[in-house]
Amino acid sequence: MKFDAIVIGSGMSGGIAAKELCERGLKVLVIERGKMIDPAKDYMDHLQPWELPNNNKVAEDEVAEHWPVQSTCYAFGSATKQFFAKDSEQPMSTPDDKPFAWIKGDHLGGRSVMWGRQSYRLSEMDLEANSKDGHGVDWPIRYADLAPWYDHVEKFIGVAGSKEGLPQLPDGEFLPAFELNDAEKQFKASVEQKFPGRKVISGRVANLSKAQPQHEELGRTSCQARSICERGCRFGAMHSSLTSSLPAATRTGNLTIVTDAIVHSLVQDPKTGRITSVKVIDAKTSEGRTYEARIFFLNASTLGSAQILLNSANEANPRGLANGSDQVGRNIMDHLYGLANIAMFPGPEDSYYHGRRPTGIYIPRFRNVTEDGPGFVRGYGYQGGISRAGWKDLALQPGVVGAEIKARARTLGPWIGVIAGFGEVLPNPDNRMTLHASRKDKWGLPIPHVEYSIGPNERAMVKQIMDDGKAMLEAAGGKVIKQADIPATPGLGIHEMGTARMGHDPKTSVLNKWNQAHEVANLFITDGSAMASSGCQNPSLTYMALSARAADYAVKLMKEGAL
Amino acid sequence: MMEDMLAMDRRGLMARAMLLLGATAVAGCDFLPGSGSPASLSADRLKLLDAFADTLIPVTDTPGAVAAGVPLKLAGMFKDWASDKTREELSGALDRIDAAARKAKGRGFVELAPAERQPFLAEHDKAALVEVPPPPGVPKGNPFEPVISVVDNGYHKLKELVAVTYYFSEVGLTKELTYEHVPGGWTASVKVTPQTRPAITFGAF
Repeated sequence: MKFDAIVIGSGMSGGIAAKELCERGLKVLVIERGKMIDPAKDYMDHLQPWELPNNNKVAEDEVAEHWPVQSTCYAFGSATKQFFAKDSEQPMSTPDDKPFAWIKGDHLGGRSVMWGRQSYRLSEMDLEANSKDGHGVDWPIRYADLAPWYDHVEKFIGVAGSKEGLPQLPDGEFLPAFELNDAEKQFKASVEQKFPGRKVISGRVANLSKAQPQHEELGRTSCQARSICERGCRFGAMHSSLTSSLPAATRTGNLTIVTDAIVHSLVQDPKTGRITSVKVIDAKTSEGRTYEARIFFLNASTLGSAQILLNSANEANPRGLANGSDQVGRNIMDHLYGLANIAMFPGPEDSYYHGRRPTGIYIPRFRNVTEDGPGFVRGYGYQGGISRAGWKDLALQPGVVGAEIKARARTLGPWIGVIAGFGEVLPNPDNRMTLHASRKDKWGLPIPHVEYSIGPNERAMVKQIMDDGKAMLEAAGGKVIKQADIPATPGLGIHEMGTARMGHDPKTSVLNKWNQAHEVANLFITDGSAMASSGCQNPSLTYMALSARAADYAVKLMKEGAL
Repeated sequence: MMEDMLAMDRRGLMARAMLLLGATAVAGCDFLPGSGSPASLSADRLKLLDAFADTLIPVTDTPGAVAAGVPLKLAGMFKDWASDKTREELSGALDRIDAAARKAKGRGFVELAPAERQPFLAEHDKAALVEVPPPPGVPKGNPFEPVISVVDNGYHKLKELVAVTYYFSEVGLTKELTYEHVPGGWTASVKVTPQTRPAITFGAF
């Protein structure tokens, strides 16, 4: 079958690429390796807590056999396990002393269905950072290149947030912010007064605080404050490929979707250097087939896309497709994650809240912005929240049994504050994915091998993340009771990026300023692979903006006859 | 020096706790004796679980764990969710409650009058949950994934499962706490009244 464009991957970036290409009149095929999902049948968000199998836990033997890595993701449970790839079917390898967790979707919509939805723009200082401090290669774009596409994507997906006028975290086209609760307002006032330059704001989140006509057209409604978003939302109140981008692509009449189709490789015409087709393995039957198109968007995720490029090696490109620079698979970055301070907080005892807000508070980066970063470049932001302790903390104390448990559980607990840092990781070519030399998966594809570790800049940052977090909680009257001061297993930030970076120079980068492969004119890569640096912001919004921008450019080239 | 004293103190606590629990019971337990279905709780242990759940979370002005169906649900989880290791921990914890009751009271836990069970269980609970140093080689854990190391880890798991299952049940969530599946929206500030009950939260926020 022949299409104008093929988009490989239906997740966060592939969904937007497909939508933008379809809306510009192209006949588009989306190829997804995972299974079809029908929200009406497959979402488990209608189940009350007591209706969930095993209190939302997955059987322990099943976890050990099939999901040892995926189960370490906070969103994994009996209501969501159908959204995670089985580690037993899609293994990867790492050195024994350097674990890396690749959290993978295995279904239409990919991780956009169970993502954390935090949506922040990169700023000029992020896009200038490599050029200024010499790490990695210079981004070939600046904020002005991205800004209109951030606008475009935010309006479409719906992002709730407040305008703050911060140079390090540009404002966007926001829906009303989810309001801070009374304890958080108290925290905000203290931090902003005692640490000039620091801000505590509502977490910017892709949930429809107030659905707009463009959302309602697609059957989406306002957020019901359930905060079970990772199960998929029947209200369509959070952005995912299944609720927004793919339905928008479908309504053009130009979209074809094929699921259970694992991309084996891209086939290159040795004469023109262009890609002519995609070789696919049927996930169920293991039969091979081929799809042809004029242009190709690779959106198989940071590690998945690199895997495909490396597996597409041919006679002229023995190191892999589009890999003259030898940068494909390198420079993996995943934000420092899991570094948290937890504190008792003296919030107002007579105040509570109603509903389960689908976001928390955010403290934008201040290190190397308004304050120096001692011993490190770049910086970090914090996510968290202050809420009243649940029943468990008070009720489950040693020696407390019987009616006393119930009496305690009924009592509204103290305010507990949690703030966790997300730290920028520098591009390092040794943080790398390769294809395993001998191990293959059940479809005969070489499994990925990842070697990853953090360096001195990140280690210096870890300490400061802990110190600053503690200082802010204490300055606001909090008493730190627990600290998580060891970064989580790399990969669990689920912000892995950088394996096919953008850059000016084909010798040191894979993609040009339009996310077009330097060496393959009709190949665009707009997922996390493209990132030349990581910023400290949650990156999905940037992938979507890059996808829309590249799609617009690719269609212009096609119309001009250049592609 | 300081560390030695701490270590001695821990050993002292441990010894006291072992006495309370019944040293033989801690030393070893016969799991699932002669059961044709190794994945199911035996009838005796089901009775123990009923009595334990009823004592831990009794009927008050609202239904307790038994009326909320907690033992039934846990019996299902024992079969469908728990690994062999967890089954052994849970069965062992139940057996240790029973053995400790026999030692202290001369009768099994089930045979105790309901009024006797509660003070006995409070003592047992306190002793079982005394923190002890983790065995060497056990990973450190973190506040989000704590490594539990108490005198009776199986008891910790059992108590937590009963309580969590109760507060996940319709009774626990709607009669004791408050739960709305579809709150309809977020209200950032609500005045606390005598009728206010904690709501449960999900996820990260």
